[in-house]
Amino acid sequence: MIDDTPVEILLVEDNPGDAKLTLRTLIKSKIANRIDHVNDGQAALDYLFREGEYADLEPIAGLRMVLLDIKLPKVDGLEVLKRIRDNPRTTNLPVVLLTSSKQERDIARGYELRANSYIVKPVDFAQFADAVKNLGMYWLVLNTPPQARPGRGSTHSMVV
Amino acid sequence: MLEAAPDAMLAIDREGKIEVVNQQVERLFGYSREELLGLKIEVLIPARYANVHVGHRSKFFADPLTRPMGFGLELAGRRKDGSEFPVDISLSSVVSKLGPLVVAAIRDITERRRVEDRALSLQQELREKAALVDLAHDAILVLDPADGTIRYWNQGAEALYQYSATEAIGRIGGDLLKRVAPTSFRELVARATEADHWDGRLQHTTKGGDKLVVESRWAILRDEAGGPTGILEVNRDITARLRAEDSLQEANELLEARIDELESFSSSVSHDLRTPLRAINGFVDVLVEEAPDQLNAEALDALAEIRGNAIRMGQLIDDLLAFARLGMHDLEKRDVDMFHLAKRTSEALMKLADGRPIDLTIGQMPRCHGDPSLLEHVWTNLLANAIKFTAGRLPAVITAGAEEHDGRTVYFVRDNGVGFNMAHAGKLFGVFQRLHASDEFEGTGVGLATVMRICNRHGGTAWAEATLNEGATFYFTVVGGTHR
Repeated sequence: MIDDTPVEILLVEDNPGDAKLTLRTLIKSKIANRIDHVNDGQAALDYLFREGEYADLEPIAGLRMVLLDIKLPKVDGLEVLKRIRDNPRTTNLPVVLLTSSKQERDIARGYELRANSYIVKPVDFAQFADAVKNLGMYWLVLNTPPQARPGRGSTHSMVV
Repeated sequence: MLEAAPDAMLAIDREGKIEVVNQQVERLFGYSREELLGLKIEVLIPARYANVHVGHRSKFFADPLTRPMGFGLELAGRRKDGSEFPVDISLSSVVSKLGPLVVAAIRDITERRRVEDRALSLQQELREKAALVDLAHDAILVLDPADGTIRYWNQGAEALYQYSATEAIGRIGGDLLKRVAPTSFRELVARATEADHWDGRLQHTTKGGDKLVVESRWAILRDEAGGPTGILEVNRDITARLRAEDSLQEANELLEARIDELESFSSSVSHDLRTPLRAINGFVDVLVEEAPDQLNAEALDALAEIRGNAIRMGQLIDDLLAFARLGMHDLEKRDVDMFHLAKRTSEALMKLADGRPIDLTIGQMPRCHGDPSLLEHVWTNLLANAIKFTAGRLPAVITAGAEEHDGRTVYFVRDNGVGFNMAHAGKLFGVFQRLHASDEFEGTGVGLATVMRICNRHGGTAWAEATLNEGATFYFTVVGGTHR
């Protein structure tokens, strides 16, 4: 079911425990071959738009999903999401929000900003791992991304 | 000469014999001149005064000064038919060829008396009305519509503004009270004239310099032709009320800020306490996955304990936060079908029974007025408890329904589970109070505290009755519960 194309996920997570365990889950479940991880919202924006310390890197090409914690240092997750949606290069990039508690306000705002899904991180990490695996599978493998619309100079190179 | 006089006139001699009468006398008393001449004057006086009159008459002849008769007394004449009427009489003396005579001019004052009486009663009425106006707590003023001169000032105005009526009347109202109005006096009068009244808020300053806000109503007083003759201004002091409203609003804003604070506090607590728990669980899993060969049964058991406890603590945090949030939001009350709520809740909960047979009955019950999502919480807690505490009963019997106790609707959930000793019933509804060891029955000890809090917020309460090892019944009330 999973093809061999190397896919990339960006994990934006400030908590080292959560980050480590999430990365391990994604790697172990073979959803992604390469996952990049940043610790805060500003780093996420720099990474996505190749600015700041990421300015010299190749443009993001194979990125297929962002796992984005809502509660982040510097720039919070919902703001990062808004900037992703506002930028034509990333506007259709699947973004899955991670949240610690069922804060309905955050979730509603997330959907307004066209978040693709959200996962409430439960205390039981095993449940979280299952949710991440399932969503990763859905957004990376099963979901057909929208086609780049002609005439907009689209650079949907991340769309395979 | 006598005939030309407008009044009835007659003359009597020293003995009181009528010597002269004019036509008006004939008309007034109903006698003809012929009948009267030669009669004693007392025939024209009501009998009860007649004897005294003889004395007065003699005195007058002794000191015959022109004067009104019976000054300050009510005088009455008597007609031929015996009827009486009020009169005014003035006396003078003349000396004629018949000797000294007393001439009396008699005027029927029936009409004047009537007018006087009417005026008196009007005055009385006016006095009563003025007293009423003074009784009013409101300040009542009458202003001249032309320039706002104060023409009337009641006691309420004296009390409110500290100016006496003497100080206030004659002054220009707006100047005296340093009126601050939405518009000019002229414009206020114009609006009041057009709409027949004007209502609004004014600021006034008292004699002592205090600024007052009054709710003011201006009405136009009009003459018979409809022209404005005065402005009736009624002012009610609302300064204290406004101040109270302001401080209430401040208190509300403070409270809302506190609630927001509490909410963000609780959500960070939730976030920050759960994150390390998730790490504990996650890394225990890593350990079990990565090093299964190095872990013996006891070590695996210990790891399972760690996991279980971390999960339990997560549940505890969730329950406590839910409990804390209960007090923060307004109830969204509606008409609630308690039967359907209990039924739906119980169906959703049956999975907790793990396939164990449960004889569950939801009886008919009255609807109530309450917050459906909170009441669902109550049913969930009580029904889940009943399912939990009937573990091992064959069959487990659970009944939910309603009864009437002293005219109140009491909802209940009854089970044949392990029950509890009534000696501990007082602890049941406290936070973190558990009557069973956690290895016997799971739970965080927040559920019944939540039930109590929800019922209290609805103006109701909750209590329980039980027999150890035989079962328990949990009751709750929701004020506003009605029978259909």
